[in-house]
Amino acid sequence: MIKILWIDDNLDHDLTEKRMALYMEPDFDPHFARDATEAYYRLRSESFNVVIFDLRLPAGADDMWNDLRAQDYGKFGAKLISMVSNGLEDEFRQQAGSRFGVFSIEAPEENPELFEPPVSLPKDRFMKKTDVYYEEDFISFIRKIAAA
Amino acid sequence: MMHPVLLFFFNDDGFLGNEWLASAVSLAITYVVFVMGIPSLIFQTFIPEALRNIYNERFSDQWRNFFGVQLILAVALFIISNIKVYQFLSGALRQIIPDWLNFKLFGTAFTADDIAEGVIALAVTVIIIRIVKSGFKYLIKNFQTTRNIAHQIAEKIAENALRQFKLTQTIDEKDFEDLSTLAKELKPGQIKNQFLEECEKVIEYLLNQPPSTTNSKIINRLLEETVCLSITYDGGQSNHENRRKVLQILNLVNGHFPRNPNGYTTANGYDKTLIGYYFKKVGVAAMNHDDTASAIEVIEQLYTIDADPKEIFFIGNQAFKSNNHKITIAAIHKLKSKSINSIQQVNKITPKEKRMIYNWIGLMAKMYQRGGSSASYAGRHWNDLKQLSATFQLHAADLAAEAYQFFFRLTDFETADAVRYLEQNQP
Repeated sequence: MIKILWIDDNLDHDLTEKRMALYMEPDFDPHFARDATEAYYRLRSESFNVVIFDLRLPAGADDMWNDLRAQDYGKFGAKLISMVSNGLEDEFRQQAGSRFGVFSIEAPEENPELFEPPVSLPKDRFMKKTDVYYEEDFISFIRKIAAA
Repeated sequence: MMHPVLLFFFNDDGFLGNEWLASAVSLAITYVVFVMGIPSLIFQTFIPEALRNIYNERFSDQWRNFFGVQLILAVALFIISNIKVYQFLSGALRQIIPDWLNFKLFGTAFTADDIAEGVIALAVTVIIIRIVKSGFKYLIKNFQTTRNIAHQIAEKIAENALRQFKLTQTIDEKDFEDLSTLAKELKPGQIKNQFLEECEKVIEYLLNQPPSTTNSKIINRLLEETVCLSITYDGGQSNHENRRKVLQILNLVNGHFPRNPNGYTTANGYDKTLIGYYFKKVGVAAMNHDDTASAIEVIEQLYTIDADPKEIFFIGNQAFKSNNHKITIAAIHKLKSKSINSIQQVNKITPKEKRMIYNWIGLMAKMYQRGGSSASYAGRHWNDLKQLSATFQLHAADLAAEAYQFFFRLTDFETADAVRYLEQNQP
């Protein structure tokens, strides 16, 4: 069983069909989070095989993001993936065996820091939303990450 | 020859002439009636009765003050316009004004008589300008009020509630009642969301106070009678954005429960049960409005807050009865995840884990009993259950038999029969 956490704030809108497709895969155990706060606590308390991040996420209710909120920061997903990568031996030890992927509207070139330490995301684990139209392509993307 | 401006004032047929003053008074009174009447008419026509009543109770000072002032000014004008009164005032002023104040203006000499008349003319001018200006402002303000009256009322009640709480650590019963009324009566969309934002401010303030039983009771009451009611009330209306806002508020409350180092909330059983109950209510309301997205979101939240599995089962079961398979599938997945997660944490199957499995089996059985694709999907879950139970030297069939007893005792005979069917016709 591949336990997946997909973090995206558009799950109710244009991503609904992809979301349902995850439910219907026989060996997927999908979970979802809509904002950085929700994802932060899920990632601390549960381990996942695959975690898919959207880079442009809302912060959520927690006060830990107040400084960034004050600067009008919008890429809380990027911040989160960096936090988790930095904390794999500590508060995010549950994700020590997880594989991360990015599914975002942005292009890889706009986010060079993701491909450097501490995140060091392999290039093939970054997928632009506009490049994935069909649910099967999204499923394949997740399976590729899980198998890596 | 007197200057034309002065002629306007100092001429029997001019500004202070009898006919002119009589017209001015009747115009002023008509104007006041118009200014009071038009907003009232719009109010009566477009604002629901419940909101009107609350607004009149909370904002009556405004129109009372305005009306009082306008009335006094109109009466003053009316009195001054009487020739005898005018002559008396003029005479009284002449007594006060000293002779050395006599002066020339635009080549015309002005005596104490002229100055007295001038003072009265100035007073009349000021009164007329005041009536017109304040009436105009009142009219414009009321047109704007009509557009955001709900927000004004909600803001006022929230301010009142917080003020009261800071003084007495309680909230007025009237404030609870009015908030409930607004929750039921407001139109869906932005208006309702503005109201919910005011409720959120009050709840957030209470959450940031030192924890106490009183605070918890007030918060629970606000959640039940106001926040959740705004989307669950049978006769009311709400939309997807309103349901999202309510979920946000419930998450805010849940987020304030202390967390242990692993991130799980350590809310006491009662608080967690209540939050789960409120989430469930929102989920059912979402389902009744065909808001699949919000219902699935509720299921996710019920999983995240580690709510009683029966809440997830309830939503899944309701969705199954209404043929909303997306929601049913989300629910059955979460019940499976909950079961597996819980078992993995303790590495055994205790009565607590069994309850989760029974709820999982229940939903699985309902889908299996339907046959066709539904049964095919349920078959997958049955196989997953067999694998899981084998790990702990248990049989899925035995768990199903126990699940049957579980639902039978709960008098959920429909689900009990479905489980019996699954037991006897295993995939």
